[in-house]
Amino acid sequence: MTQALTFYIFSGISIVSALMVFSSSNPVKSVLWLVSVMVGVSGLFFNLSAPFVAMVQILVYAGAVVILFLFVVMIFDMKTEGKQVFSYGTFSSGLKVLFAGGFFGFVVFQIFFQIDRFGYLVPDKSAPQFEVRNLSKIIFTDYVFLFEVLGLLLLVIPIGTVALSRIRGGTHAE
Amino acid sequence: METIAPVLVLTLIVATFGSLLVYVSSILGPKQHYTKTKYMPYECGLPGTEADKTNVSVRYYLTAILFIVFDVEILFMYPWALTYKEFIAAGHGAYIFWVMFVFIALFLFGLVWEIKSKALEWD
Amino acid sequence: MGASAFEITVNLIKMIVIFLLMVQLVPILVWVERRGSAFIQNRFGPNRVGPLGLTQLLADAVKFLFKEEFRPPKSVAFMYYAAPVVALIPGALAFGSIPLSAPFSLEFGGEEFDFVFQSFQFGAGIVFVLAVSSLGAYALLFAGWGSGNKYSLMGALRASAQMISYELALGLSLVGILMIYGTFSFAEMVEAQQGPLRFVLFGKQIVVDFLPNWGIFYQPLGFILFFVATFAETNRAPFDLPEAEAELVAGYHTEYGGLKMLMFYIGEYGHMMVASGLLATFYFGGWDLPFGSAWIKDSVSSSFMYSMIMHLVFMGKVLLFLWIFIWVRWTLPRFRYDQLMDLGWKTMLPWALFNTILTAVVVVAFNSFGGAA
Repeated sequence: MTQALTFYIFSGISIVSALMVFSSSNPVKSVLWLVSVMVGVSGLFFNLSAPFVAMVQILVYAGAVVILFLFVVMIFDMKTEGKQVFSYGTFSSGLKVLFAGGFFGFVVFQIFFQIDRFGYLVPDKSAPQFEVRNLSKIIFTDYVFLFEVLGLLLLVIPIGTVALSRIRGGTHAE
Repeated sequence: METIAPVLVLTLIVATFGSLLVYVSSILGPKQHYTKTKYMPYECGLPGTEADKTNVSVRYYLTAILFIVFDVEILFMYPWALTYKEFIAAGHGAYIFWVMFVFIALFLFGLVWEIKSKALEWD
Repeated sequence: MGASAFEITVNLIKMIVIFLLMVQLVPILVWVERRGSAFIQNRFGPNRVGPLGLTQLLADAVKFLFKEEFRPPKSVAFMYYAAPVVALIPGALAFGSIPLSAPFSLEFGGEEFDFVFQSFQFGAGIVFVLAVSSLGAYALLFAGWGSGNKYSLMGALRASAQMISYELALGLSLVGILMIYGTFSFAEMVEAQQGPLRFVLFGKQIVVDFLPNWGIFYQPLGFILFFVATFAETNRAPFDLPEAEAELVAGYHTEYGGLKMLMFYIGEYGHMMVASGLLATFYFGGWDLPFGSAWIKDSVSSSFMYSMIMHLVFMGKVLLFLWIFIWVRWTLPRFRYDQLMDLGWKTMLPWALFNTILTAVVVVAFNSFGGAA
């Protein structure tokens, strides 16, 4: 019962905040609503008995990625609030509605017609609980090579970022 | 099984408490008198000259992106640290040590590179 | 939350009591801070209202209540009002997940119920605290953006950049502790720190009778790094750049007054309490009283009484750390912003990495070194 209740609360939070993310006119407000989306998603992970993933979700996404977005948004010109984001026009508006509706319809179609296929995803009470220890044992034995590659990848990211921010003639060249 | 419900309940309690404080102080305080200077953004008494929303330095962006990268690396060390003794007990002590040593060496290389490239300089 | 109505009620009461405990400690800490700073700077401090100025906090509360309600016209209403409320939440949630004492059991209707002395217990307690406190930056960003004042915004940006920079050193300094205890759970950590200092050295069990089995003896470097990083995380001096009054007026709460400003203070002191509680739990045995726990447990009849006494021990440790926080604030000068970032990235982070490797080497070399020996 509690699980169902928390599921609806957290999915409600995520959906409403996600709607607010793209309906706010101010990019900073959008980014701050994104935090709420992340918290909602984290709650959903928690509900799926994966507390570690839930907390990592908050630590990495809400605690780091969204702050990065915020800084990025603030680097740009913030003086004009409520900039017109979408262009007007009968043809392009019609196209937008068509695409948005088509995508929405596709998602709804997928959910309604494939829902009974997901029967095997219903949590099995006898299955072992998610354990960080098990996760660790898998990462550091079966996937140890990928783990080291990840370390290499994470090394490339900051180097690339710094190199990009140094490009001559760019907006932030030294 | 662990449930998130108590966290939600406590959040609700705290939020109610906080909102109540804000509300109570808003009804108990005296009414506002309008003066022009009072309604300006506070800047040590001088009239403001610049817009309040200025652009921020690109350094904040660099700091944030470096933070994400290092944060993810540190988060991978947590499960490793958790099972470190178990691996040792199973006789794989040297293996699990070198696995993380390579990872930390890459981490350290990135960090030293950042410091050398002066990406972390604030002035 | 529990299965029966009794369990749910007790858990709810516990939750509210722990939150109120945190809130009511704030005026006392404000008084200690003001008297303490006066003592350190050879002044009197508040001494007029009541004995030793103790009722100064009551007078302050009344004053705060009757302050004029004011919102700058350039501000964003929702964010401006939400920021102080949001500032309370991370501290309260994090404080709620730290075990403040030994678990106890109560009898009701012929049945025995077990309770933990904390609002909620998670297996991954440490990660929960880290995650929740990383959300603390948003209260500042709400306040900074919502106030419509550039000093507020700059203070908030500085605060968040500072918090994320020191979160790295903070998170990394805990890896050593995790290696030694091999658990994410606070309760298991405290359990492992009971009794005299003992470890296995080259297959030989060594017991040091005159020292408790506390984390600080295994992780002295980690303790220093964690301790310094918490100062930056709580935005306290010498790392109180977000509210450097010489350059930023009052930082992110420039446009706040009255109770709303007080709520930011509750948030800040809440973070201090969380930091002190974590320091006590990781490095100083949590609610463990060295050489006394077992004796108290035997001489006290009910587990509830025992829990209460151990809670006093824990609070004693927390108050000691809170006093150190205040002491440092009034002793050390503020850093410059580039010095602050240099310290975080170029000094603390490499040292934390060194601590991790050192602990790993020692643990693997001594085969099993530490608490669970």
